[in-house]
Amino acid sequence: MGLLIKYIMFRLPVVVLGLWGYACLWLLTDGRYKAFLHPKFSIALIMAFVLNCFFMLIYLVKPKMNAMADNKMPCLIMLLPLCFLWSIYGQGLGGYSFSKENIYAQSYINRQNVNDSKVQPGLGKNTILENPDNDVNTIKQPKQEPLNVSILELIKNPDKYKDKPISVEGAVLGDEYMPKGYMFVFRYVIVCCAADARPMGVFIKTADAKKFKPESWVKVTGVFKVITMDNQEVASIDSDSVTQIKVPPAREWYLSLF
Amino acid sequence: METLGQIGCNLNLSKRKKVLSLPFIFQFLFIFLVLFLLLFFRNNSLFATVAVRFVSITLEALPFILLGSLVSGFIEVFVSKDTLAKLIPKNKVLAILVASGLGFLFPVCECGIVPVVRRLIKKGFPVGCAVSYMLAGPIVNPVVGLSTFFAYSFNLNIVFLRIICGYMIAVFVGGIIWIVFSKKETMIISFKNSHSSKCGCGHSHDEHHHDNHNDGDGHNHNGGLTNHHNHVPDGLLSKLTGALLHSANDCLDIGRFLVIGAFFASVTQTVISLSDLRAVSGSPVLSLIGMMVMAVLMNLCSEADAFVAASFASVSVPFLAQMGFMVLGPMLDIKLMLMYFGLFKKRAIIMISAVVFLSVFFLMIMLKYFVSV
Repeated sequence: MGLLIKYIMFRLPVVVLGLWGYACLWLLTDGRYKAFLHPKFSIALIMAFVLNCFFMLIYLVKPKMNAMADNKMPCLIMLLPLCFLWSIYGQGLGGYSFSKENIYAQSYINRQNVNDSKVQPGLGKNTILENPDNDVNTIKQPKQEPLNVSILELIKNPDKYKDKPISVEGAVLGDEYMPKGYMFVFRYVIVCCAADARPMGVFIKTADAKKFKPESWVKVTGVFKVITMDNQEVASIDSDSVTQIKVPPAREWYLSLF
Repeated sequence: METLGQIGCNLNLSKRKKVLSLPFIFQFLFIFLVLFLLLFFRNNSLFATVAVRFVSITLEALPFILLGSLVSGFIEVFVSKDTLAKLIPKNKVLAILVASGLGFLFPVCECGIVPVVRRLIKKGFPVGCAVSYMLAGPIVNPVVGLSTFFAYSFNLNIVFLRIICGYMIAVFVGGIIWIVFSKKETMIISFKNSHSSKCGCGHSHDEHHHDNHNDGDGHNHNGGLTNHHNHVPDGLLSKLTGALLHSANDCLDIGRFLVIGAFFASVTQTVISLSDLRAVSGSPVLSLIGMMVMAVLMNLCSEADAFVAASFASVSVPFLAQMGFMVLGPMLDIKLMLMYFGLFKKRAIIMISAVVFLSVFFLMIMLKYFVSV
């Protein structure tokens, strides 16, 4: 055992690079990397796999290097992300990232230039609805077959879907300050990786707002509306039905901006 | 005359001294802390968010570190000091102006650029030029220009403004660094530990000069240079092997700083919220400072930061504060500062960080009076 540990320590750079190479392959299999990265990163991961293999091989064919190398500490540090990767795979960002955000800003429909100062700042979570159509029992029946769209698509093209029957899927936000008769369903949108993920969501007008647990996944069918809340135009759905669905695999959690 | 026992004792003392150095203790504590958190707080919602971000940042940056290391290894073996010297104009000002624009020819992101710059400096690239290239490269490049173009609804003015600001800051900081650190040794860490001992040829590359010799490993340590050996192996295969060896070493050496930086970045990203900015969004100066601090804490990739910056419009953050975020972020963040430890001395890192932060701040304040986008 002691000999094995000694041998592993002697060959630590090979072990680390080999494990990283394997991790790249593992992430590429079944698109697991999408639980952390934008889909376009597959090319970067393939490149990382190839380079890791090359570097590992070079350490293998130059065994003298391992004896000389004073790189045990860098190698041990390089192992840490791998410990995390295999321990936490399957966990998402969850609603925690939302807990300090202004939900109105996450559902905000931007019709103006970015540098336009006319947009009023968000007033916070306690703001009362400007047009509180609180009759949650009045649910409009969609006349057409609902279109399956993503939350991102709704927020990017609100006019295209306005007053049309649609169907969206997302996670439920648990928020004690949610306006009465509403719930908030969101998805994370990424540009490069989960570290830049921004939550985006729609308000769901429903009588069943309290029925669903935070971070459970639901499918909402109803009519898409653009309403004003907290002095901002936000995306909303007058729901026809809200049903709980199975949590999708980690690789399908994020929506890509591009 | 020392006895064998005394020599052994001295060797043990020097080994113990090396083992108990401050960086060693810091790295050891870091490993211990991170593993402790992983074992006992794995199911905590806050820590899960930190963990996902930590893995994401590392996975996002690692391919570019590997690529940067590969480029670095090839520079070491295939580009001689003389060739490098020929590429850079003799005139200092011109040299910095050229170096700051190199990102257009060699677009490298902020993570990948560190190993490249490290190697360039080792090969004799002027430090001021290297700093300029390092700072400008992640902004003054076509990929970042394109992402800014999309993020700001196809507004070319914003793209040009960002690139010009990045270029100006890089030129300015590079110039300052060149003046203040006229001697390379006062700014750059010794690469003795990080390179020589790992090279496999079994002797230091930094502190002695070689006569022409070959160590049987395919390394020719003469290379025709007068004051320092040139690490050029003979034959294409040996050259390739040598390049890969240097690349692998660089990757491990810089990679650890990436991991440490990514962890601290993910913690700050999780603890600090964008909404905290709303409190200061009413004041242009305070929101500029707030956005610049955010850029340092958020550690976003330069390809992604424009989208985040544009999203600040929804909380009425002034445009120049958004620009400050986009210009400072690729030059200075926690992850990068830690990666700089693989290259610069502490004093130089503090100097670069302070000058970059202040120059971005004052440039944005000046732009307020001259620019209307």
